[in-house]
Amino acid sequence: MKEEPSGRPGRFHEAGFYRSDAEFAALIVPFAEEGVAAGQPVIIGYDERKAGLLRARLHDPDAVTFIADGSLYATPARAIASYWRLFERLTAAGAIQIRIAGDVPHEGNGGRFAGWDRYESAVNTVWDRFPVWSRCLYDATTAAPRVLETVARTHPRIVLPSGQYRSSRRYQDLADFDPLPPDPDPLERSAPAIEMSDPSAAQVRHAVTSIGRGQVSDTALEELVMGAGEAVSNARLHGRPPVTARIWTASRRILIRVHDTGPGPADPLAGLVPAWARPDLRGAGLWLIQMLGLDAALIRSRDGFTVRLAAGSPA
Amino acid sequence: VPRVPPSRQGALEASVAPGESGSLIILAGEADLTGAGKLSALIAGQLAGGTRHLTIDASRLRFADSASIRTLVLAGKTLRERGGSLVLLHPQRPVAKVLALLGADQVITILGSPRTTPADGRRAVSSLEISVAAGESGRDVVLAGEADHTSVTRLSEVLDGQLAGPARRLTIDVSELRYADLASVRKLAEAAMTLRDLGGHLVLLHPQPWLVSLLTLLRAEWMLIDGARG
Repeated sequence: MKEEPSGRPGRFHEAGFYRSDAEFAALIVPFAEEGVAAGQPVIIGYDERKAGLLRARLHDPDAVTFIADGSLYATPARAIASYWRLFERLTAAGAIQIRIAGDVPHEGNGGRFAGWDRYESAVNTVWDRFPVWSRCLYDATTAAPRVLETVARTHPRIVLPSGQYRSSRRYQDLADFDPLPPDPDPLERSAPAIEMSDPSAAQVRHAVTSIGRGQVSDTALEELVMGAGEAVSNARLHGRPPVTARIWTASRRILIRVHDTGPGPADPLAGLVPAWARPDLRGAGLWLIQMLGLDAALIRSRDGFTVRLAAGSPA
Repeated sequence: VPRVPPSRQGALEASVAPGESGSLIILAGEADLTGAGKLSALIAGQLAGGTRHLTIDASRLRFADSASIRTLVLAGKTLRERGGSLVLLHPQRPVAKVLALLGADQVITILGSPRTTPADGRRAVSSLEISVAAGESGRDVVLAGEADHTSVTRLSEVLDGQLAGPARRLTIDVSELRYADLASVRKLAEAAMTLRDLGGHLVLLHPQPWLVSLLTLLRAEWMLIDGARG
């Protein structure tokens, strides 16, 4: 174990595990206080209870930015887009080190971890362009073993409640990272309402509209239509035929799978980096899919690449 | 499992109407992979002429995918580099959503609220309301709702009726006019020119930004200057 000099500008993505409020405070209070003392922006994205716990222990809570908006972590692509704009503003205003700490959703804190494994892996590369020190704290008493194991694979170093660091032996670089297998959706076990071979994007959009009307909210249906259209166009342009679209529906839930037999996008960051951050807007389709308020998964398997989209009441 | 036959539903319709200072591109239907070549060729054709301003009426465009919006964003960038602009009028909600997500408002000027046309786009019922009253120094006309091909004859008749009278000052309150197609805006400009030739003037009250944009396209900004004087 070695101790890092603190307050040094740099790019860090580290994880910490706590088993009590005292351990949580030991991991977050000095991190925030040191940042404030050095005049660095400190951004905290925790729920009300944990934010309150931190506020009560800070000398000057007003010097820390608390993001109470739960939509920040709505989807991984949205979290990256929101932080990106924030980091751009802060660095333009002269920040040379930015500290962030937030609660990635997982089943232990009332969220769903699906997709956040790719986020935790991606930010090691995505935040390279900003002087970001990101500390991700996980409640070891509520996070599932597969979550804790993924955290170890996506953070180069682990910070202990004592303030000491150790490097994560299981860390995998972005290119080597194995995403978690997608959670199966019970709807997929039944026969689809419709199956379309080599459909046009318009055919799939219209099928989603007619099958989904009344099943989910108008906004969700609008987003499913958009997402399905993007997935089909993407498969036809970049995938390998045949392209197959399947739509399932039952009790106010819709699930769509768009499959092609190609290997999927080569870029492990596909769909995570804001399209507006690329001068030519390349990769906008897969990114758009993940910006919508849908359960969206990009699935690589032996038989090809699948975009799975779902909306409505949870499975 | 039912299978769906191929259909031609959802095709992109595109046309170009000449304006006095740039073209008005009218897009309708659904813009996606199938119409991508058509849209790219149309935009490229317009840009090739060295034009600096393009205006797109998107009021009848029900859907646009990210690739189509990307084509528009890249065109907007080119026009900005030339010191000009790309203006997109009245996008419907799904189109506005893709524009917003892709940050298109950074390079495209988006003006006007969506039309109240039903989502399926099959019915186009004009909801233009025209009322006329005697004002202090001439006649006052109030236009509210949406002016398009279904109302252009009615609009034309009302304006001709006003011009036939002795009053040389016509005030048209357009603050509640939510949409007007190029033909309707042309009618207003023609009436203004006729009045000007007769030594009078037409005053447009409170035009919304999208209408200012269409008047600019017709080189009829002078109507607004007269309005400011009025």
